[in-house]
Amino acid sequence: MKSILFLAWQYICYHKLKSSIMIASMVILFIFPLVVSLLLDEYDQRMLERSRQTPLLLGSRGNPYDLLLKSLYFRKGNSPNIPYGLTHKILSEKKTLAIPLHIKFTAKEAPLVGTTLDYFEFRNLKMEAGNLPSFLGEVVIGHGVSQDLNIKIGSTLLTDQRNLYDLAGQVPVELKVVGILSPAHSIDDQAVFMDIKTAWIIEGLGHGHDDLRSDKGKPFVQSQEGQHLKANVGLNEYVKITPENMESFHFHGNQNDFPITSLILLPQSDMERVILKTRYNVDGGTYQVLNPLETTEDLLGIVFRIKKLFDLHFIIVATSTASLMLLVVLLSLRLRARERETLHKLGCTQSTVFWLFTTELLLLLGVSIIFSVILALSFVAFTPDLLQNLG
Amino acid sequence: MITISNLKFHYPNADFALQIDKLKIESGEKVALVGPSGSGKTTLLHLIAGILLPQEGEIQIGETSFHRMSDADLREFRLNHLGLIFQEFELIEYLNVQQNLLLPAKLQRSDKAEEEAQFRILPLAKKLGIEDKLKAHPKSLSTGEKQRVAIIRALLSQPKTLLVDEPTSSLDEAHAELVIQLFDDYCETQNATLILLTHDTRLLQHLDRVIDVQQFRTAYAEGANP
Repeated sequence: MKSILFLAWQYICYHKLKSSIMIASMVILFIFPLVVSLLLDEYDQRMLERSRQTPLLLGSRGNPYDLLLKSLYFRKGNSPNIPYGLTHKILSEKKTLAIPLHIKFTAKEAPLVGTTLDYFEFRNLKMEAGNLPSFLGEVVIGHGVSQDLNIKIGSTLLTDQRNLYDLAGQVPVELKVVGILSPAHSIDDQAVFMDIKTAWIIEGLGHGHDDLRSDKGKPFVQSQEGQHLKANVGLNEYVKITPENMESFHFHGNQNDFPITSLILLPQSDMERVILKTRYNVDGGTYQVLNPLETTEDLLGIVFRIKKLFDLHFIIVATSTASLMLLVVLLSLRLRARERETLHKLGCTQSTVFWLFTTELLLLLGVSIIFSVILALSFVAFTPDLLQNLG
Repeated sequence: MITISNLKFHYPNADFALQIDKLKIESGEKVALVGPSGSGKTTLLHLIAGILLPQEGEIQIGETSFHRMSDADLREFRLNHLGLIFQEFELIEYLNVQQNLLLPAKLQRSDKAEEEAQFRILPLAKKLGIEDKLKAHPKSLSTGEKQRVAIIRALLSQPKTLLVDEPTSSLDEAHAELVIQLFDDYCETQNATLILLTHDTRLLQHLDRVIDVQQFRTAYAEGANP
C-alpha cells in the first residue's frame, strides 16, 4: 500500500496541470452544495435559536410569517399594527411580561426598533460602551451598525425618509447615539434601539415646537378657540431633540391607541401561555399569538423544500460531471497503457496496477473534498454579514 | 541453472510460435540469444522472466518452476531473483532517476531491500557516469543515460540471473565498454547467470555461449501443434 500511495502521489505531483484541473473541477462541483448546506444549517440554527428564546409573539391577525420575520428579524413586511394599550392590559394582570416592539423606520437603512428597557434584558444585550437610552431622541446601536457606519457615541443619525415625494409626510428626525451594544451575533447587531416614544415621534405622533404663548411663537398663531391655539404652517417644528427643547415635545391623542408592531410575551407559567393563546387566537379576532418556534419550523420547512431542488440540481450536475470524468479516466488509461506494461514488467500484478490508478483517483477526490470543505467553511466564516442578514 | 523443457508458446491471433524441447543454461554461464528481427529473442527472454507464460512446457530457474506459481509468487520471484534490462528501458516518466532505481525495491514492500538498494545506487551511478542525474526525470535524459539507469536498476537487487535486451544499443564506445566490464565483474563476483540479446559483436567475445533463437521458431496453426 505504501508503494502504491507513493507512486500515486508522485504521478499527481508530476502532472500538476492535469491534477489541478481535475481537482478544480471537483471542487467546483462540491463547493456549491456544500456552501448551501452549511449556510442553511447555520441559518436554521440561528433562526431556531432566536425563536426558541422567544416564548410568544402577539400581533395583528394576518400572515404569521410576516409578523415573525418583522418582529424577530426586523424585516420589512406588511404586518398591521396593534394598539400599545395591550401592553398595559397584559402587564396589569401581572402574570406575563410584555415587551412592545415598534419596527417601521430605518436610519441609514438600519432598522429602528422602538421598545422598552426590558428588551435588552430579555435578549441579554450588554453595553460595549455608553448607556441605554434614557431620554427622547436617544438611541443605542448594535455592534454591526457601529462597525458598518463607523458611528461612535455622541454621533447623530438621521432617520431615512420613507417616501421622498411625500412632502407632507414624516420628516427625518435627528437621533443621538448614547450607547453601543456588545456583539450579540444576531440581527440585534444590525439594529438601532430606542424608547418606544422616540419611535412615535419619528412616526409624527409626537412633536416639539415653539410655545405659541411665548413671544417667539405668538406670530404663528392662526386662530384661538378658548384655551386651544391653532398654529399656521410657519411654525417651526423641531427635528432634533435637545435638552433645551425636550420639554416642548408632546403627544396628541391617547397613547394606548398608539401603534406598535407586536408584543413579545413572556408568560410566567404554561397555564398562562395557554390562556394567552386561547384568548387572542379566536376565530375572526383582531389579534394572533404565535409560538415563534413552531412558526419558524413551518417557515424552514418551505426553505428546505427549496433546498431539495438544489440537491436535485447537484445530483444531475454530479452525474454529468462524474460521467465526463469517467471518460477522461478511461482515455487516460488508454494513454497510460505503456506505463501499465512497464509496471507489470517490473513486478506489479494487475491488481496492483488497478489499485494504483484507483488510489490516484481517490487521492484527487480526497484533496478536492478537503479543498472544498476548507473553502466552504472559509466562505461561511468570512461572510458573517450574509448570515447576519439571513437571521 | 535455467532449464526449459517441452516449451510451446504462441501469441493469440498470430502465426508466430516458439517450440523448445530442451534448453539448459548453467549457473554463472553467460549466454547470448541471437537471431534476426522477429525470430523470438525478446519473446524467449520474457518467457524466462515470467512476463509471458507458455501454453505448454516448463521453465525452471534453480528449484523454482514457473508453471506451478501464482501470479503474486511469480511477481515476488521476479523482483527478488531476476534483474531485467529492457530494450525500451521501461522507466516511469513521473519518477526521477533515484525513484526509478528504487522502484523494484519499493515494490518488494521491504524496507531492508530499499535501504540496501539505496546504499548501492551511488557507487553504480558513479561507475556509469550518471551520479549527477539522480534527481532528474527520464524526460530530460539522453537515450544512453536512460539505458544506464535501466542497467543500474537491474543490478541493485543483486539478482542471480540477469536478463538483458540490447544493453549497448544506445551507448557510445566508451560507455559500451564500461557496461561490458560491469556485466563481467558482476557475473564473476555474484556467480550470476547472464542471458542477453544483442546484435553487438563486441559483446559476443565476452560470453560463454551463443544460442540462435531462429532454431526454435515455428509457425502456429490453430488446432495443430506448433
